[in-house]
Amino acid sequence: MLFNSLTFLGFLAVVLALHYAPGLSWRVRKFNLLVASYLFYAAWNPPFVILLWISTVVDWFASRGIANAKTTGGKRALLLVSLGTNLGLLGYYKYGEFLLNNFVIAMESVGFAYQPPELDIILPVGISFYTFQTLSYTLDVYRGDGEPWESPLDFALFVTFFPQLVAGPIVRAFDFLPQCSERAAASLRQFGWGLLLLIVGLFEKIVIADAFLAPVVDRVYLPGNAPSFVDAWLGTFAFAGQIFCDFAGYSTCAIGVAMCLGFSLPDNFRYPYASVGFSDFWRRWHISLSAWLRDYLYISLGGNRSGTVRTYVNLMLTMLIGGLWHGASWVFVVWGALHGIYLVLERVVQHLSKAVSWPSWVPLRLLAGIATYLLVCIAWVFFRAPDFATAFNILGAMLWGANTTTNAIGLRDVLSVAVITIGINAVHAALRDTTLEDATARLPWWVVSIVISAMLVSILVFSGSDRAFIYFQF
Amino acid sequence: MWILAAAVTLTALVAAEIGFRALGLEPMVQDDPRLWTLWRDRLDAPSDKQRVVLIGTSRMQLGVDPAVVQEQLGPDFEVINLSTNGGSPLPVLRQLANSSFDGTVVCGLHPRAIFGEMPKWERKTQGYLDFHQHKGRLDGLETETRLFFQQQLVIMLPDVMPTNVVAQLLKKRELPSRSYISSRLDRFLGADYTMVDLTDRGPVEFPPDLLLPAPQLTERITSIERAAQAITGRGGKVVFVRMVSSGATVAAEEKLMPRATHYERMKAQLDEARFFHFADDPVLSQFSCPDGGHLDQRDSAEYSRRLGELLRENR
Repeated sequence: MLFNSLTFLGFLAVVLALHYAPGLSWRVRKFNLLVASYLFYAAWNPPFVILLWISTVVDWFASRGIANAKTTGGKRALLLVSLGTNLGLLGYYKYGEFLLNNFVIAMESVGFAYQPPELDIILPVGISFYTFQTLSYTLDVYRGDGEPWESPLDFALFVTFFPQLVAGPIVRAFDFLPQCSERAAASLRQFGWGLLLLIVGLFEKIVIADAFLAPVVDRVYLPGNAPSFVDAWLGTFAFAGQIFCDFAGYSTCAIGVAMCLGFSLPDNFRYPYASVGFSDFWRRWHISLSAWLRDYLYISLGGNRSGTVRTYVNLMLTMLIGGLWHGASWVFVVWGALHGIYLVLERVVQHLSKAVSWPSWVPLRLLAGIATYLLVCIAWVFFRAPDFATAFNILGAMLWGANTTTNAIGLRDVLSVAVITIGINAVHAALRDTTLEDATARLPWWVVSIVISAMLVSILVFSGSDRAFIYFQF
Repeated sequence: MWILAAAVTLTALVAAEIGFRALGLEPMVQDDPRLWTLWRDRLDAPSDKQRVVLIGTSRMQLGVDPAVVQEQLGPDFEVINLSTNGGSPLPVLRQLANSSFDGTVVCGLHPRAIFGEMPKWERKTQGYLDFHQHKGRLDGLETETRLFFQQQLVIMLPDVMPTNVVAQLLKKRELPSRSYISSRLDRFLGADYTMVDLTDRGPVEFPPDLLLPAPQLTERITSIERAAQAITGRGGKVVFVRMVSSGATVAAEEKLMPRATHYERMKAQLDEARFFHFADDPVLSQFSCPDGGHLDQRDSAEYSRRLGELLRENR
């Protein structure tokens, strides 16, 4: 069930009516939310609900066992059970075919012809998100950062909570579970704000990402296409806008829906295209994943505690795995590697200049910001391209020009992409150090009303494009 | 704040609806992968009727009215239209061959789609198949809900999307008006060519590079043969219909893909399939296409009636 579907609107109306129906205990309301979350997930493929149950049951018992284990060995064994189960499921469903194909290629390279059976694995939607979310709970208990939660109902709801189940934000257990202790009900103001976030998210997704940018991106990134210099850059700027509006749009909807239900979810994006440097970018882009990778992977690898070279190695490893998390393909690994290189180079520059952050001189920060954006866009080429041939085609046209000078993108699309790209970057720059809520509070109420109306009308008249969210495939 | 927002939104939508209706636009279902999937799903549903599936390009979708064919075949049959405007029949034929389908496939034989290299057409139809394959359990309900609104509201038409309105204003300096193509729930597209200015059409010429090289042509015909055999092997039938084309279009098609070396070759190789060529039938050969490749909606009913008769006589 997509947020940008009429079915979801009907579903949400029923869930809200049940959540705020008078006379129900908090326990019953939570149970309603849990059932609704399972239905939400089952709308794609009912049998995959079993995977959610497996994750829930294994991590529930593993964390309790870890807390009660007398020896470090016992704790470690139970952690391995949780890691093995969750990463095993993720590995099979997401990376099974990828590993097998690479194994076949490796065998062929040493002269063995191996024909494996067709696996034909269907990727359960959102598996990367809920696996990481569930694992964080067990890891927190193992590290002593939290005690096992007493209520299995609360824990099941934490694993399954529908607003963020399939595409994040990846919520930490001890941010969410305490919210289950007392009745969650949004005040009228919170409800209104939640609704506004839902509208903003849908506007980003339906209007900007799907109606304006996606058709341009699809045309430029067509396999076998030979884009001109202008087309390649425009297509890539368009994708930078599309991926942001698609993914941030989903997160904004998720946060808004959760808020309407009285729950608070963490921010997932903080105006990333106004970043100055790559550490800044990763504090602003997909925050819940980068924080997860930092806390459970980078720090576990030793972080920056074991010398400069080891820090760089840890950064690279974290970004490579972060890239692979997005999809079972080498193009994602290259995307992660590029960001790893960017982060390492940034540290090297900062180390050499003995500066801990970028200088505050405005023109220099502006230049650094533009450079960050352009390098992020170059990395996006690998994220979007379906294969290396297409990626190198586009990258070649962007960096060294192309054989063709015929632009496939018409003037109307050129103008759309230019206006939207400048618009997104301007909004990010303007709101860089503030929040949407603060910015909205500074506007006269009638201006907010007109903006809401404009977004609603746009959502309705552009609703024909009907695309799934990009991050569902991860 | 919310009351004002709701009032402004409602006023804007009502004004747009009234304004576009005043320009002559009417609500219409959207022929998209959702509607295609709704019909594709009917093939998988159990039924005691014999299924007749229409697959093809725009020529089939504009030229063959499934309701008329249904009328000709009678109540024991169910006609399902899976043609794709701007697409190719080949991906659908392959999918039907790989399924358990054992009804009748009526495949529009568009020379460029069958004998040519048309990756864009194949990609479009493949997009429909992908949508069908990856649909969720509630997509049917979503489609039905969307169809309901599409049938009531003009503002759901793609033509009135602000981007399209602006494009039309820039290009033709006029507001959108009723399209010459109307779509129906059964996926028939009716074309009213009296609304189209056909006087300014240049010469019809197909680039020679869309022609498949000889080995690939052999491979293409063999793969079609394999698909047809898979369906006939289960007791199904496969009928290829060379849809009508006329004037400069049919001349250009004949020049690039002559009947003797392409159509007749395929007909000879696929001996278990039926073939109908419009030029061989005294009724079908009388039709002409205003734009060279597509029938006007006033002709498609009669054309479909004759095609239905041929299917009935040869079933």
